[in-house]
Amino acid sequence: MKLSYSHYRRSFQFVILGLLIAIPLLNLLKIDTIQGILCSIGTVNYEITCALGALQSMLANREINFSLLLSASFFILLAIFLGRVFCGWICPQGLISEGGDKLRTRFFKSSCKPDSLQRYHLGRNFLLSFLGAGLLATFLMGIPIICYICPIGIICRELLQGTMLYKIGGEIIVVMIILAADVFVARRGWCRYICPVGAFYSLFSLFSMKVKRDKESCVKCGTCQRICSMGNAPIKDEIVKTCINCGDCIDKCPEDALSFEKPRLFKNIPIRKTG
Amino acid sequence: MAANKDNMQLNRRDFLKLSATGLGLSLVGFDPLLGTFQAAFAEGAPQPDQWFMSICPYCGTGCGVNVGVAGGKVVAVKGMPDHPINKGELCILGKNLVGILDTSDRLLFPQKKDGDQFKQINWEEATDTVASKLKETIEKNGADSFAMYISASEYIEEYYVYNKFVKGCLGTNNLESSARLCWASGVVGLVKAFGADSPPCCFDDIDLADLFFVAGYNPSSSKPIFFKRLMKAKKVNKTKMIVIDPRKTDTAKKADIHLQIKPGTDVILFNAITRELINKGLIDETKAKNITQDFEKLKEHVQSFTPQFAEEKTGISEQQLAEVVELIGQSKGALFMWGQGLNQSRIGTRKVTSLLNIPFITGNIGKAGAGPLAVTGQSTAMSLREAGALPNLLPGFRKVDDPQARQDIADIWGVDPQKMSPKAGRTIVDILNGIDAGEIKALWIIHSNPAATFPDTTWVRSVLNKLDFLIVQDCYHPTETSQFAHILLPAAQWSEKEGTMTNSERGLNLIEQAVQPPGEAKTDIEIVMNVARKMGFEKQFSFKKTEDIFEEFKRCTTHRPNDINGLSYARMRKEKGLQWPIPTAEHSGTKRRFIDQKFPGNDGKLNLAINQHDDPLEIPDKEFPLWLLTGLVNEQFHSRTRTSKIPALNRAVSEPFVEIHPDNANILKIKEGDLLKVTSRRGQLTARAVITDNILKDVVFIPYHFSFLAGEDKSVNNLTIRSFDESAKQPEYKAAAVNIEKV
Amino acid sequence: MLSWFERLFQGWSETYLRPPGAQSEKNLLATCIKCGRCMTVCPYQSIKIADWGSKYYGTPYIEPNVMPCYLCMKCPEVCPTGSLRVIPKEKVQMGQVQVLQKTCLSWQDDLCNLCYKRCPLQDSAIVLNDDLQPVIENCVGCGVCFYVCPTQPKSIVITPQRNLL
Repeated sequence: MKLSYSHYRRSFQFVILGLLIAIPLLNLLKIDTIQGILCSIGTVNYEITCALGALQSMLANREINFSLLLSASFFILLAIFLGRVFCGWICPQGLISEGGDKLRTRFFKSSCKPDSLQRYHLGRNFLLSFLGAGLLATFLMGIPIICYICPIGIICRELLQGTMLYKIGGEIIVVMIILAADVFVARRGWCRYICPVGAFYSLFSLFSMKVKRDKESCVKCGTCQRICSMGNAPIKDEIVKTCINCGDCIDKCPEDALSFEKPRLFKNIPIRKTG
Repeated sequence: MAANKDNMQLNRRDFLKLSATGLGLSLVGFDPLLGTFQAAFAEGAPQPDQWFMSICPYCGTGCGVNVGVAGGKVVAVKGMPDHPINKGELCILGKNLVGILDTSDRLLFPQKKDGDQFKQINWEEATDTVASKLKETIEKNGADSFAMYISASEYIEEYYVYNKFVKGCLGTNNLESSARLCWASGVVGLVKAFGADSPPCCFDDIDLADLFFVAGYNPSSSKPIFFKRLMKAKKVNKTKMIVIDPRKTDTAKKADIHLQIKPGTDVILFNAITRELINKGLIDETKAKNITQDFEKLKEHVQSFTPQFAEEKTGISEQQLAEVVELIGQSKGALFMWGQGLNQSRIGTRKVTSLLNIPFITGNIGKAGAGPLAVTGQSTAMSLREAGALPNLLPGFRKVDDPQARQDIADIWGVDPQKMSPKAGRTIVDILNGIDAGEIKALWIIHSNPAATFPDTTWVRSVLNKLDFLIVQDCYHPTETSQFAHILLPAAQWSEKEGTMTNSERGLNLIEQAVQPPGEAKTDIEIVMNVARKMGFEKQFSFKKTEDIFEEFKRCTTHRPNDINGLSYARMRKEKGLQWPIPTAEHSGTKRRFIDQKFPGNDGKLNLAINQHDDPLEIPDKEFPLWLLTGLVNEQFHSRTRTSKIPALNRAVSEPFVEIHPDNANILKIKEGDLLKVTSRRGQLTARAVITDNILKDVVFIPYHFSFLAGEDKSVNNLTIRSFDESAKQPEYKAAAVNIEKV
Repeated sequence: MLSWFERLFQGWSETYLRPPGAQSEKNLLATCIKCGRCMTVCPYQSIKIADWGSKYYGTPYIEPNVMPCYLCMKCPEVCPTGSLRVIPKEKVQMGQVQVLQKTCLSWQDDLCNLCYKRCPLQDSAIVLNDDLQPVIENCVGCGVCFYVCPTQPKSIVITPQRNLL
């Protein structure tokens, strides 16, 4: 079996999940070279902070914090070059939602339809307005409001508290509700229609790496369209902002007609082609 | 606050329930549950219906307490308002005395080791086993192959019975006490200086003195009630206080002059002070020559201890030294106090005698408000000496090597004087060495915990494992020591037995039995007497009650320094804290001794000591660059067998810590609260860092209360060295070379 | 039924302390992104993260009754958003402390002074009146004295500092 994107991706997701448990454990063993969760990771010399969290923190406090900007730049640069890879490759909620997606495809086979462009635009507007409303509320209320419902932070924090203090907080219910909604209401509904973090990173992904279809070899079988959990249709060249660069369609394309296109900013930098 | 905390936790629980069983279930019936929980905890403590008089069992101050009993249980402890020592006050340890009695780890039944497990046996079997084993050991290897190691917190009657049993009946002098670890050098120093063991002062002198000279002693933490009295005198009488300590302790903070001395250099400092006093003409030389021997010799000896030399060695500046000398010279009555800082050293006796030179030459002796005032760390170290429960003593400060003394005591005891050994018995280090060498086969440990308290724990544990027969008689199990026992005897503890206690100012007090011992536990006297009777000494141990033992002990004190023939249980119930000698029933006790300037030494004179400084066995080097000091904190007591049972005290200090100077911490990149690994040539300890400039550079401090029951690497005695005072055989806890690294 | 509901959404007691280096409550609520780094780094596990159900949710707090702050000042160093600022421990303002002289052992002629002996800022935060009775002076409100106080109920009351600046 050849190694496909999904193998790399799944391993990477589990490595991240493992790290979220391992880092507190290492800290308990007094190894402090790396600390923190996805909201804020600290290594010896460099700090990485969740970009949306940083933005909210500054908005709520109405003050620019340069060291915070610097630490937030990592995830933004990641989004500029590689698109929403955070969602597809790192986010632990993404991993859970994919699990939910597997359940959903098993239960309701018929409902796995791609979005129409119209529906996509609706969804995208919804996504962005959610982000906008959240940021506005943050600014007005002076509280980083998105952090309150952010399931990524909740999962990370629960893993941290669970490993270090042996306790689980009630907040984990948010993750369960999202999972239930993903299975029973809308396919990956949170990631597609609500998640402000994904929406925020999608803002930066205009010139980033994308999936490209080779029109000549494509036989229009529709596999890619069926397989895409985020509702994209590579077959119609409708690869839009919801794409999380997971590479599932590339893996599953029977004719190898799909591949990642280099970021438009850096056409010269070669990217390995798999599949 | 508590209610709010409940709120928070219940919320969390609510959520767990909510996610597990759904919203509806948890909504029903949570509130009523909460109500029952709160009701269960709201129940108050019962009111005592009977009060008994007692003395706090912790330190040597001897504070009076009233013990309140309800339903056969001790439910309250209050300071005794009419007691002359504490007048109703208690320190935090005394306040929490109730908690030491009904604990889950009380030893309730005799137990015998069967393989790795302890098996419950009955008293008959236990007494038989002990008696036959002792008989067998003594017949096979001689009486000196047995030793008894007792604590210094027991009562005169108990010491007397142990003494009679071991020295009179068994015929060995191997009766050693844990006072060896605490005040041995101090007592030997007193004996050397005065010619006899005779603490001359009383606590009332505190109010009459105009200077406190405190060396290596932290009463603020170790004797809070005593310290409170010092502070009161300091405020009312403007008494000056000089404190000599390598750490800026809470006592040192209150001092007028704090000499932050380099550890271990006290002899140099005291000699330098003596030199300056003499050379500056601040003493009355004629008087000094009258009451002391060898004054000229001392004067000549101390000339080499110039202030410059002292500054170089001790780190005390010439100016500070001059101030101290000035204060001592001008003082009309100075009290000299010292503690473990001097005693626990390889040259402890030298340090103490050098210190005592100062009151002797300045005439601060034999008058009110002046002299050496020694308060011991354990409650009855004084009773122990009176009753002669030490390897070289017999009751009434008699020496075992004196044939007349043996004859006198044998007459009272009703034993054969020929059977009593004229050779001084083994000290605890000799006992342990003896076990190591196979000379000691059986050891009986009573209420003591050498596995925790003796230096170099690893070695001690290996030695205790070599014993043929180890009897541990204690009120708790497990303790660090009880794990090595072959037989465990459950003993009563404070307020479960009756007896007489002498505090550090020679004051005698009666302790009443307030409650019955729990389970099958018996009083120490009963246990030892039962064994003795089984071994055929019925005649010697025909006592019916504790008072009979006291009456017999009184006969041993006739015409001795501690004559207490004027005292009886009935009198002690009425008059508290009477100080020996009390020869007749009309005599009202002796507050101060040597008022007539007649001393028990040669020609009735005091002995001045000619001492040289010596370094400890191990001094910091490249590999182990730091000097380790051990000591106490005021929330815990000794090896914590009692105080670890009290949550209020454990909250404050629940694990060892390492006090370290900021300069050292910076070099090692240590921050407050970091876990440190402290290593010495003998072992290691892990503890949190406390960065403070209260301690000298290159010196670290670790409290000694914690041992391997608290955690294998929590015992500071893993680090300490087996080095002992040259004459008193007291271990050197205050000098070891260690290294520190961040974990 | 109603009280349960209230408790669910109250979920926060006004007596909890904020970690050292926190500015005003408003500032902390605004800047904290609930990353839990301060909790990770706390060597005494004093810092906890508030549970779901209130506007304080996700922010760090210290429950001085369970484990007080020992002012090691490790948490401000790792705070990514500057919610906890790096300041010397003498300048920390976590709360205000009051000694209840009616129940305090040392004020009742017994000797205790546990609060004084364990205070991380001894002789600055707590001083002794007459060398015996504890008196609060430049206290930063770390809660150690409250934690170690042996009386029942506690003879020390701690009020969190919430509205600075």
